[in-house]
Amino acid sequence: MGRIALFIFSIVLAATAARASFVSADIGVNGLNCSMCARGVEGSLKELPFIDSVAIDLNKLIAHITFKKDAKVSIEEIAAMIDDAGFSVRSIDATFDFENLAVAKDFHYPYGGDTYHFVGITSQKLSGPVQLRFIDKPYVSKKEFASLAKKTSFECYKKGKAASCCVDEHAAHGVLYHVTL
Amino acid sequence: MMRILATALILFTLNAQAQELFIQTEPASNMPARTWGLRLASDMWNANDRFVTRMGIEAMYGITKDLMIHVQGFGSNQVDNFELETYGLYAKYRLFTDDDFKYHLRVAVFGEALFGKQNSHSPSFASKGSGPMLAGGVIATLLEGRFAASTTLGVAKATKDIEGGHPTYKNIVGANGSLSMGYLIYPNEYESYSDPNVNIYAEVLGFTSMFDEVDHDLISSTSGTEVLLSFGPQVILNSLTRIDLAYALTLYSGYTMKKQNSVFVRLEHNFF
Repeated sequence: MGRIALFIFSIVLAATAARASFVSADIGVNGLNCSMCARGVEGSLKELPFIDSVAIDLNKLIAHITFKKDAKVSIEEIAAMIDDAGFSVRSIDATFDFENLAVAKDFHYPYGGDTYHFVGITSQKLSGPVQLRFIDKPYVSKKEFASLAKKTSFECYKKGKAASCCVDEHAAHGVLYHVTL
Repeated sequence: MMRILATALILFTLNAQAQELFIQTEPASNMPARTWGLRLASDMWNANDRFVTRMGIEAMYGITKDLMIHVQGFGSNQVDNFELETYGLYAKYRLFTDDDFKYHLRVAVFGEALFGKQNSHSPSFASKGSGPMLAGGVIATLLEGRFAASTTLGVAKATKDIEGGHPTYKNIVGANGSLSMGYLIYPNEYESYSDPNVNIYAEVLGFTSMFDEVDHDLISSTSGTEVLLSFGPQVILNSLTRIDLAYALTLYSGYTMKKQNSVFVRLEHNFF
């Protein structure tokens, strides 16, 4: 009986864990100025195995991306693909489907082997689709970066990589991303 | 009234994008990494009541986001029947990028080598593909809204002398400079990739060279300059296929054999 309960519990746990995932992302692309170039970016992005669909708004120059269900999404690989197509990322807003996750200022969330560091937020529970804004230096304006940097005492944000602050429950595994709500 | 016009002009300018795809010159960057494109071109002119065309075929590949190579071949009926004249490689490397929203400034260096026959009549570098050469230089391309501009500065050296007639030309080296400007005239606002794009371009191309002119026993070191004005439309279909049309007018020529005014047509398809 105990074994069956453990088995069911494992399945429920696995299903719950799998449910927390990226759903979609809106990526602002800089340097892009023509529909022919946008088509090139779209073609490059479609090479990524976890991407389901890409549609570029040719006026706002934002790539609307949807991800394959439960696929491991790498924001870093998306940025690298846009770079490879010859352009650069201006902004990243991604929708993540959370399963009752309690977050707080400087909470570190492990997902898909990477770490998501929440900056400048209040303590709250996240459930369902939530928009995460990626705020690492390349993805925000200089002014915004300076103002966000004041909202955390963690030097990893200013440095753009794991620093001496990244220990214990704040340890950074894989790629370290800084996000806000 | 003036205020309304100015506002309309600003809105018109802010609302759309330009292309960085010039007709007679190469932009600082055009191919995404791991993608390729194919071009077919024809430059056509009239020489002593004879229709002459120089056709070009070019395959382009983006090795990385910064390094792009083109394999190219040229042939013409300039001398007699249509024949292959030159073939070679063009490579460009992007050194500098400054990207922003609907804006970019890029700087690249390029190198080019053409091999094959020397079919030029004139020691000018204005007729690309007519003779073997080595060339290199710098390209800077700017895009801002609907407007695009690019400048190229380069040097070139003919690797075969021109010996087909009298006089003959030896030791030909040159310098080239160009300024290309383009403007997106359609669409005002994109609805989809299938919207055709129409751009208009005006390009000024300058070529100067130094060479030894050999007439029987008489050798003289001399030089020449040619300035061309090229203008015309470009249509992009389905965001993949590009059609260029231009009229290249020789504004000034200091060479004995002036470059004839020509009509240039090119078809390009990108395999994204």
